[in-house]
Amino acid sequence: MKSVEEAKEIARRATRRIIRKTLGKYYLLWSTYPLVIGVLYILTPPSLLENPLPYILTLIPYLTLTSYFFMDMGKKLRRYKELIGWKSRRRVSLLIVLMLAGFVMLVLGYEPGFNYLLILGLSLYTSTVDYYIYYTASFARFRYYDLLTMVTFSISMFVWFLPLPYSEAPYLVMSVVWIFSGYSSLSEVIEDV
Amino acid sequence: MERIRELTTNPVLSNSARLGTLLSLYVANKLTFSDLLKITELPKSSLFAHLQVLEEAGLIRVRKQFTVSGPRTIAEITDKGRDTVKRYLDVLKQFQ
Repeated sequence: MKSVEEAKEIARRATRRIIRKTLGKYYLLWSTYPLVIGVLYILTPPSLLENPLPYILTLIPYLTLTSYFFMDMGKKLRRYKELIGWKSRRRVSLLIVLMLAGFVMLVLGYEPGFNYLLILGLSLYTSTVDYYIYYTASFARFRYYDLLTMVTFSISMFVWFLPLPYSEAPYLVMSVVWIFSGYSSLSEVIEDV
Repeated sequence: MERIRELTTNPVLSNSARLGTLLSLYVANKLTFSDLLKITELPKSSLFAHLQVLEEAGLIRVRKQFTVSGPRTIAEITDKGRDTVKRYLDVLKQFQ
């Protein structure tokens, strides 16, 4: 039985590396988003600035890659949970449903100014994304840079969607922090980064 | 009880490092040799020997592959390896 426990410990280390690698790629991917949006904003003619379509289209490759990263990691995490006999699928499914509900509220409630649907959507979406990062990172040892990504993400979302001053500044900070977190995560698991 | 004895006395799976390597590959599907070195914390020669035993038993496949970072040795679990882990987990579940 001791050898089984030792073997499971080796599998746990493998799982940690897989999760950290996924988080690193996810952080690096989204660190470029504020920059891409910034460039898009500069290149868009003033008459089209109010049109949300280019920004929505820009989201598609980001969401596709994010889904790919997390679905692949999810499969591996489920196999690891099989090994340790952990059943928590329902909790993850509920979290994803709440995240999507928050996103829908955010889209429906989006209009200049404050409104309750927008604030509720923002709160639900950011808290579920943050919790998902926390939940995933906790399998790979939660690091201070995971916390930094969660904080910068939440602040950026609120400042971007609500009519608050200096809305671009947190996005730039988020970009830098996410590059740092992505680099730190990957340097934990990849040689010669 | 017989199935537990059969699995735990199986020379391929009786070693914790070898079993751990197989379980890691069950989770990840495939891993590079350098990943496995870090995960198992074994010396290169021991890991190589364990991989050879697992490969001879048909539980994994080891091959060279060209990646962005250069040529890498990749270990990948086979269908037989996956079935073996599943049977192992079933037996453990019954035992617990």
